[in-house]
Amino acid sequence: MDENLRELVSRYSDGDLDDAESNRLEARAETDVELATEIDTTRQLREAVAALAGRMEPPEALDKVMEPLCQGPPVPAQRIRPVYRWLGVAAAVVLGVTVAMEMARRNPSPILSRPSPQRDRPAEEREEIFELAPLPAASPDDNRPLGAADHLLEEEPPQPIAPEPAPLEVIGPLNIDGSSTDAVEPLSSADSRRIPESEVLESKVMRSRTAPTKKETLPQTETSEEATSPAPSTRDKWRADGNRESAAGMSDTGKANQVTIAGRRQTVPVTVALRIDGIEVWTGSSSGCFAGTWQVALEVRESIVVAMRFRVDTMGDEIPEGCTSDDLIGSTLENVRDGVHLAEILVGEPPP
Amino acid sequence: MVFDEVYERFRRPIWRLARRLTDNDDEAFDATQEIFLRVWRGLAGFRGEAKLSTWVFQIAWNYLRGYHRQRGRYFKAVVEKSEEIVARTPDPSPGPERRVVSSDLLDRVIAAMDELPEHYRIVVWLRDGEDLSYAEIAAVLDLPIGTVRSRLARARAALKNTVGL
Repeated sequence: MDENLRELVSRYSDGDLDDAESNRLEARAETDVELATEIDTTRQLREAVAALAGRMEPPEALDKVMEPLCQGPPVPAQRIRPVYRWLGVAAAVVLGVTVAMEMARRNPSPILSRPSPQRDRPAEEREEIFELAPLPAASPDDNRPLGAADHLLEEEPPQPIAPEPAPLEVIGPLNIDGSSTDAVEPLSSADSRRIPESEVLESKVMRSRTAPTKKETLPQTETSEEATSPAPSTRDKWRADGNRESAAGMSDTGKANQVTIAGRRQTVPVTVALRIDGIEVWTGSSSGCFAGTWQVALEVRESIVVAMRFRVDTMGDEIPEGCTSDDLIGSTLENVRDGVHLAEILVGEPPP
Repeated sequence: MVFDEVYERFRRPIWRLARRLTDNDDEAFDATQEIFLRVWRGLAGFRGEAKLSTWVFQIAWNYLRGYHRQRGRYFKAVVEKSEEIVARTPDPSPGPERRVVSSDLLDRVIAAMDELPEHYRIVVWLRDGEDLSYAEIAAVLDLPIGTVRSRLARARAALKNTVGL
């Protein structure tokens, strides 16, 4: 059925059509069976829904629940007159401004003003003169010694007595022909002899000449890594230095780079000199070192030694702790550019 | 306007509407209470600009619509057994045959209404169940009257199809 016709039937059953429309629809329904059926079913449906809706009663409990509401008229909510509302707003504003002014008065904040035109002018140098107040004059009694401590302070401090230097022992030339350094047999006490310092120094110089330098084999990237890594203990650091050298390909040339340890461990402070390209850039003293010439790689940053490594780990665990490395790292080297330098450390003999 | 008069006049329509648009008696009971509580609160502000029936049904519809939206479910009309309705309702024209026909038709109508979409069901219910005029339905549902007419015609056609009339 047509949508419009269906709506007409719906309206007709509800009495929503005027008389003319109703008459036309009724006349058509007399000849149109389908239309007549539609009108009849619509009427039945309306009656069914009406019957469904109109035959229900609310429960009695609902009346009991609603009884309090039915007792009296609802109390209308108290409305605030606009005048009082505006008065309240005005009072709040006045109160807020008063509180703000009071707080500003008690805690004055720096006032940001426009920049002064004098700001662009160069500052005038002012010569400020300060006068120091006169110190209080000491009374004669203040200079009088008070007790034994004052007497001790007045005396010359005792000079430390240096111990007798131990005799040097020739531990012999280290094996430089490629065999392991562990194979070097220590000299017996009978073979050890005391040698003069000049002979030792000559020996050191001769052996240092035989040690070729290979600056090109020292990678600088390792230095940066070492500088950024946390500092290990001295023994570990030295051992680690040797390991890094091996990793850098220097251990295969260890025989050639090996430097003679010509002296023995010194127990008293001895002179230590650092040379770069034959120029002495640092001198100091240290104890616990083996006398001799050491070839080291130094990393210098801003004229300060930040890392040092021995080219050859010839001593293994026997590398003396506290020798040279501790003194050099952190030392300032004048006229040395930043970077990694191949240097020699000369550990001298103790003064006779 | 006194509340008890309003309550007495609309207690049945509102109960029926709530009963049709909720799932059971308990929900309809709670919904009816809430609707009349809102009517009681708003009665002081009612100035008669609209018909009282329109105003009350508007409150009921707004609550029931939100009621179902809160529960996240589609409108589900009450399926009340037609036998119970027929049994407890005095039939003006008693007779075994009529009662059987009415019972069967009512069952089918209830089932068909359950399947109707919400906007169709409320229109049919307000028109045929509560006998509101087109204008009143339009005011309650806040729709143009032409929409009410067309929507009612489609809803009835859908009902007749489902019922088998």
